[in-house]
Amino acid sequence: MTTATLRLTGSSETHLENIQVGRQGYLQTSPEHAMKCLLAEHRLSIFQICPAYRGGEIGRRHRTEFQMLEWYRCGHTLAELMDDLQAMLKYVGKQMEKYSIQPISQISDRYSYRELFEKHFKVNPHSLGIEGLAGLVAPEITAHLDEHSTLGDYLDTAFSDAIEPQLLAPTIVYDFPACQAALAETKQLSTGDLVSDRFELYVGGVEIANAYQELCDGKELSRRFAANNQQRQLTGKPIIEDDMELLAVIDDLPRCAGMALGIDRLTMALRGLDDIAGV
Amino acid sequence: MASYSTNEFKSGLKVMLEGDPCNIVENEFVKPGKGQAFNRVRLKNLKTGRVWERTFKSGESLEGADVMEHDMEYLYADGQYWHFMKTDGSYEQLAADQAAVEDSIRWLKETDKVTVTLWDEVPIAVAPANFVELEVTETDPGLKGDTAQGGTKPATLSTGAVVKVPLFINIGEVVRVDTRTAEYQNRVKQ
Repeated sequence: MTTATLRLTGSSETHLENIQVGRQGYLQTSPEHAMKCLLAEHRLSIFQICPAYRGGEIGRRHRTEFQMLEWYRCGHTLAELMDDLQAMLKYVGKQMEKYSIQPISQISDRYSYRELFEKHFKVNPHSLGIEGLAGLVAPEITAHLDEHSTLGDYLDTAFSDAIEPQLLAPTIVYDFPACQAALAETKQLSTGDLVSDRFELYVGGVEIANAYQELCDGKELSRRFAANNQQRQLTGKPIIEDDMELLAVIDDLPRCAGMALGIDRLTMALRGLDDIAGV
Repeated sequence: MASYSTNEFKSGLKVMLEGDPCNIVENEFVKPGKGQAFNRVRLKNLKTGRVWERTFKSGESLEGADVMEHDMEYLYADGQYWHFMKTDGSYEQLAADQAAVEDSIRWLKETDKVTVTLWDEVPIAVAPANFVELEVTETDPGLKGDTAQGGTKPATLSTGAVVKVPLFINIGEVVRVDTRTAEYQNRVKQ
């Protein structure tokens, strides 16, 4: 299946810059909303490979336009999606061997966000506030943050500076902080920690894929859109209208897990490239 | 001077940071997961030579620094200033103060070629050539039989620099030294 890449509404995620095409709409930052609308209607597992666009993202690991593989499994949990990912990487590795290219090793490590965070910082990330987090990293690392920065911004800064660069072998990280749920469900663990039911795959210190136990609750989705826009307003970014099309059907979404994988990044990892320009 | 936004940052760009001119050594765009994008930048403070690592919010901007590097010849010191002459045919002369020559003073030999960094036309740093040839003015007497191998001894050079040299080097001989590491390279036949 394919969905339109030009959409009526953009993504309200605070740190995504939408590319607007005149008055005709926005280039998709990911096919997530469009695919969820299809899922709610047809209740079938689906996938597609499509371009995604993010304004202002140009660097060694970023391009404004990139290829995304996105898939949803109806009735599945994140654990099953991890196995999916494992199987796919194995298949890709086999294909590479045919061309005598050294495949990347299989995913050997699965860690919770808290485990990794505690190993490095000796403190539970789910119990920290902004002040506690700011104290963990050198001031020059947080120089880009300001009074409007959120708990999520501080967590990302600490995690990406100290932990991500160490995730060289293919590693799955799960149970992210609750404030980073985006469109994933949140859940309370037996430890009492409230976390978002998400995982990410890292290879070579770079995020390659991102998976959610998908949120199917319209009221909660509406609340998250509002929170995004409130933060956008605070930080002087354009307000993005709520995606009414998605809000109208989200309560019909079957219980499902979904994943987005950056194909350019995976190619970088597979070929051992240091710059996405080489893909 | 123009100002530069983070998306114009690249290595070699000269910008002002905390009142000092800096050279961008490395610039990387970073966007962690769902987080705020920023640029991780390594800058060399051109006055002190110190390298800073800073992060800048995407879209933030820095004022450009009017910094130029000139090939010049070292002329002489008058006790307060060190005088240099441009080698571009203009014969223009400039005087640098102690702070500008501080790090390279021990390598400065008259008529040697150096690189002078000018900020708003004022010298702020002087870099000697990577290799200089200087005469040994003081060292313990050479030992017979010690030719290529063996230990080292300190030697004072004509500019005042002290470097470790092989035992066979004598006063009056000229040695070639790497100014980046202050290491002896070889003896120069006169």
